[in-house]
Amino acid sequence: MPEIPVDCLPFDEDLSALIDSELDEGREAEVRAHVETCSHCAGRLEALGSVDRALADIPVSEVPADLSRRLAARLATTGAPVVQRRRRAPPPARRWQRAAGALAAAAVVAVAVFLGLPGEPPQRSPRLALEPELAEPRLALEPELAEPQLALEPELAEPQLAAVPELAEPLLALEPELAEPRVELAAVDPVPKRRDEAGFERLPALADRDVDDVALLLAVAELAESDDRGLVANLELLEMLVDLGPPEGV
Amino acid sequence: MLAPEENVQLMLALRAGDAAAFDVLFRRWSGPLLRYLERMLRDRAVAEELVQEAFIRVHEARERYRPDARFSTWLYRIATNLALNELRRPRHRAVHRSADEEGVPLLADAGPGTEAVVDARRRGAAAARALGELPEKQRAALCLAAVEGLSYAEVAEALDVTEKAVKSLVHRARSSLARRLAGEEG
Repeated sequence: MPEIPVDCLPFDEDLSALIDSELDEGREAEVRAHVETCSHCAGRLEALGSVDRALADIPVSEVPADLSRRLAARLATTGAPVVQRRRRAPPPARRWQRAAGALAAAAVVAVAVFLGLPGEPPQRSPRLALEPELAEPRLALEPELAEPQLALEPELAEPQLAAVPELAEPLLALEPELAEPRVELAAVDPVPKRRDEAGFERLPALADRDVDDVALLLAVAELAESDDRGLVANLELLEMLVDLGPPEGV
Repeated sequence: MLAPEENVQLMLALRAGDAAAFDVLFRRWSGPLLRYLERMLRDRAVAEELVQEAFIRVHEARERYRPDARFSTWLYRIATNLALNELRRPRHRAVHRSADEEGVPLLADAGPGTEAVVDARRRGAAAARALGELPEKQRAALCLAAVEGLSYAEVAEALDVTEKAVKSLVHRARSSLARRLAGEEG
């Protein structure tokens, strides 16, 4: 670019602003008056303007016909964070929390065994029993997952479901174990289900376990509640404890 | 084109649970967004991915949406951040392909007015190459102001800089491109 004459320096940056209609009336008149009498600035204005014409000539693609369908599929999967979180390895902070939780649970077991806990009637597990979301964990909490894209792409409703089968029943298909969490627990400890005053089914494994187990599970529930992963952590810790079985000598 | 307040109304409808409003917003804005991202990235496939990503962000933020800013500015801000992140990834630096280089022959199938069409394609391809060599923020500012028609105030909001900075970014970008294009022609 040739060097800008000193007289033109105050106008140079405003040439672009002139092209973009960003100057106020007074300044625009000044710049136009200067350009009319200055061959340098007239040539520069023309060169700067040619850039916009060249930019307009850059070929660009049309939006692909299937882009909205691809977006719908992605929205369906990103709209199910619990499913994804459950399958991802927890970040370091979460691993620490889980390790701390497991240690705390182990401590509760040790204290409970050491104290021998008095022989009171087995305590119920109000927290776990009163959480209705245990019954239908995800469909109720995230209703948009049930029919995520039908309204978005009405004409695609049928093909979409056919092309992306998990959209129809995302959670049941992807996470069958979440659909019936208590079936797994009942299978471990097959006692008939009961209902509490609110009508929610109790976990039979809790209702009829020894007091040590109940205390332990209450502690676990306490830990799980402090974790924003909530139900998932709860279920994972419960599964872990069920795998461990009752403490020795109980 | 939808008036700005119509975009806001659609976002408010989406926030209230009207999924059809999202469809309207997508149909209205996916084209301009793809055009912007393709110019920024020179990679059609990645641009398409980022268009989807931008709308996923919009969908995820629907309940937090407040009609304080223009929808278009907000959307371009999301897209710009995604594009800048993408440009800083090593993978992207190694790959520069776009419609100007991979899919549009200069001579074949030019049809009537062949010479003018070929000139335009050649000019467009040169502009795309030169644009790709600009610093990222200059590129974004120029595309938003000169191609997408955003005001300097809107570009400033989309890029999170001052209007004065936008004026300078746009001018430096235009000057640089003018010089490069003149060099190619000469």
